[in-house]
Amino acid sequence: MRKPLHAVVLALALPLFAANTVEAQCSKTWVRKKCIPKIAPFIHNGQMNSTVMREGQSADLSLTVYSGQDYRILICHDEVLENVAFKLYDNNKKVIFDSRDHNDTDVWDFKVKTTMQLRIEVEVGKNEDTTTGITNSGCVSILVGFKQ
Amino acid sequence: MKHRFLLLLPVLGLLGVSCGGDTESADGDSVSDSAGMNVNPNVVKAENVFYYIPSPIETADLLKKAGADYDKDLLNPIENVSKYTTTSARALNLGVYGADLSFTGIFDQSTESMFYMQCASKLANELRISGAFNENTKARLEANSTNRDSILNIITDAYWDCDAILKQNGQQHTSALMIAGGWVEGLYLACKVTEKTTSPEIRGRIAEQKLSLDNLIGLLQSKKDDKDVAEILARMQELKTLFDKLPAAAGETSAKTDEKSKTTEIDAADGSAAMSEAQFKEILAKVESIRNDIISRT
Repeated sequence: MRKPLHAVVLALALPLFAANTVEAQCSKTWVRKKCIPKIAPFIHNGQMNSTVMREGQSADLSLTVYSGQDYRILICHDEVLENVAFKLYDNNKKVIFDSRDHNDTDVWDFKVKTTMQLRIEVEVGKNEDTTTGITNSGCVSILVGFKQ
Repeated sequence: MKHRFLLLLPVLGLLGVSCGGDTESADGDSVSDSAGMNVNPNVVKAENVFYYIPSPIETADLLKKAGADYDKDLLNPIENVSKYTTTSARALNLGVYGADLSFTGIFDQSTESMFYMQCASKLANELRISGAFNENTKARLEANSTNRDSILNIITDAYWDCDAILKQNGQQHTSALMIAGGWVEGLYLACKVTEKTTSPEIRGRIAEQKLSLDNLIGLLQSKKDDKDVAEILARMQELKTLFDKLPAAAGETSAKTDEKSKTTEIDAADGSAAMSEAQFKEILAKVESIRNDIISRT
């Protein structure tokens, strides 16, 4: 009887451990080491916009970009999330950039001629190849840098 | 909301299920799909909503490029730093001093930068944000006092450390106050500089803050269960009523992509922001009132 009980406890504890591990991966240290260097030579904006996301979820970031400025948008994510894409929308909900049209890039630069309000939508798509039924989770960080 | 989402993860893990269902925005309101958007049916809409507020460095950079001059008398006096004893006063004024530090950095005022760095360091320590604006930051600033690019990176890194540590410790409302303090100080400096110079370019930049104010209000609304955040939010909404009198933002956008340089150029029709002298004076008076309220807190 004891063996199955251990197995049950282990089965319950493993997802908890896995979730906590994922959360730890979204730490300041993880973002600093994995993401911040990729925004260079642009200067990041001093805010950490990161969270743990599961496949099938999305995140939005609203931002104002200013005329005459150059920006870099970087979507930095855990490698376990294989299908991450981002789109840039203008204030009229028109798509002005879609990473899926550019080899699923996670980084792109923008030259802004007119000050405007934009929205970045990050989607963590479901991994269509999975046969295990497990939904992966991982850290996603949205970074925006400007050029001085 | 982000924090609540993180807390739910172990429970979701234990249940071993992937939940779809209702989603919420950062302020707890339901999010509906926007008409006209191509919605991927495999993706649940925005569980996580973020707001990008221009950093003090970015605001100071915009000001300098628009022709602003440095005036140290506009900055929050360094002797005020010892007055701030509550968490909200410290957080707001960490933002203010962060903006002042950025202003001094952009204008190559290395001696003043060290003073404002010390103010930011004191408040960060008092907020128990160990690791940000620390001895290492001071040493890096001193070692790079003649290299502006390095100075700006050091300041931004320290500011990012503050924000990241606060968010990691579940103090998102303190982070929101810090960001609000920095944004208000940036706008205050822009208004005061243009009061003296009447530069149309700087005034244009001020008018454009109408858009980032909306983002700041979005951020504060997501943390408004904190009474100090709610109080600042109310002041920002007073300011918004004045900005809302300004002309609408940019019209239809166009995008031109260069695959080789991985760059997209974006433009829009009718994007020029403008405001009358009377509108400017109204905004200046309101910003001055909010900023003076922040720096005179204890």
